[in-house]
Amino acid sequence: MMKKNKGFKIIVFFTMFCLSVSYFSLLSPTTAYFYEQKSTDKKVNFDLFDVEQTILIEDENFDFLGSTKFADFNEMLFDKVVCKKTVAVNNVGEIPARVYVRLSDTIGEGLQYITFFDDETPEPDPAEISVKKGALKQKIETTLFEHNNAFVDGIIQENAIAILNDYNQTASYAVIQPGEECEITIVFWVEHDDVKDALTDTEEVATEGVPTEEVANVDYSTKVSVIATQDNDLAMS
Amino acid sequence: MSKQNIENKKGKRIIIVVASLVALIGITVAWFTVTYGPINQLFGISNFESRAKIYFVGNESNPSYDSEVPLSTNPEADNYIGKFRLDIEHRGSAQAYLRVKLLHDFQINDFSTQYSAKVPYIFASEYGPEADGDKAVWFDNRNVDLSCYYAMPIKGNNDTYTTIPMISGIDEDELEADSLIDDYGNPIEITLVVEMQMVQSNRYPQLWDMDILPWNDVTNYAP
Repeated sequence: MMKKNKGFKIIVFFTMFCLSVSYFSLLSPTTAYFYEQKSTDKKVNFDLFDVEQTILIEDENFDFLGSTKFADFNEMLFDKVVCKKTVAVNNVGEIPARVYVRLSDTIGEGLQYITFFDDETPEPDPAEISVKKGALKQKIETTLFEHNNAFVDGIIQENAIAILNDYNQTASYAVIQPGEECEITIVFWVEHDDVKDALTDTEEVATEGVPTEEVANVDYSTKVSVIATQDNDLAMS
Repeated sequence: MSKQNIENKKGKRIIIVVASLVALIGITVAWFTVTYGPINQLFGISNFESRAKIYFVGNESNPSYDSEVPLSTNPEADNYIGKFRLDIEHRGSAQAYLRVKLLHDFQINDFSTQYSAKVPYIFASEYGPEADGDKAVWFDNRNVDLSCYYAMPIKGNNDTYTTIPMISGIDEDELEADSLIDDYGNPIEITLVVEMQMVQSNRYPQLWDMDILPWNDVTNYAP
């Protein structure tokens, strides 16, 4: 009986050991990095990273000047009706950090965004009087074309939105080395086709015989998070 | 306890400790993720609307918001064209360009006509020849497209109207009202129709079919 118990316990412990080692061997190289640290230095050494940021202001409100069509390559004045928010991010840790922006709980259709991680997000030229495509619109078109070469003139909105969402979820990030900083620009806009029915569906409201039409309004509420992880594709999967 | 038993127990403890340690490492090693937020952000977009407020000097407390108004060329009439005043009121937080077309429909000697040419109104504020760029004044483009443009984008709020005075009088000398009579010596009656258009400030190229706004178009200043 005692021999049986002893054998059983040995089997259990051996199984546990194998499972634990297998867990490590199946993990990606980054996690293996920690295992390698352990085996090299004969101690566990978890290098941490921390990313400081100038965070956005809670419940900050912005009224768009108008709606637009980002997939329309003839939409020249796109730059004039977007909202740009800038977040400064600083890696004060010891290992590289991959930084993403994520939006959640967006209420209402029509609100779109794209994120840039360089310092080259252009500003509209207030002195420009002729109708020509703004630098920001050009940058968005170039960026999305490089991400998916189906993003060309003539693309339908549905496909364009799909490419935009894919870019935001998979390709839009920056790797910040320890001690370095990065400026993130989030560009928001409202798609015209998604709000035109709501904004034109007004009714006349009588005010003592004076004709008055309702001013229609569409509101959005979205939560913005800045996420830092190890520099590995699986970290955000 | 035999030596072998003791050694077996030691071995067992080592295995347990190592296995536990490895398992503990396995549990605690994970993707490090640092998240800042979520920070709630609020956005809004609205449309806009406008209306024409028409009144006559001496009867300012009784404005009309009809888009059609009868005007008389009789200086003694309450609705004499020289007493005519026009304000544009607008609401909405979206930004827009505004233009107003004034159509004059009148009948003279039993012939009706619609006359859209330049009645010599005096504008409350007018784009001067030396002005440059956007200005909070009216640009008279009636020679080109029968419209007067407010020479800068407008933006109000959703609750209250913002007023932009437009017509503040008429040049009596240019009007020559005493000559605007029919063959029977009766002053002619004019029906003024006020047409307003507002477009999103980024959509005027598509909706107004123009690449440059009139006050920025140097050809409008050609002698």
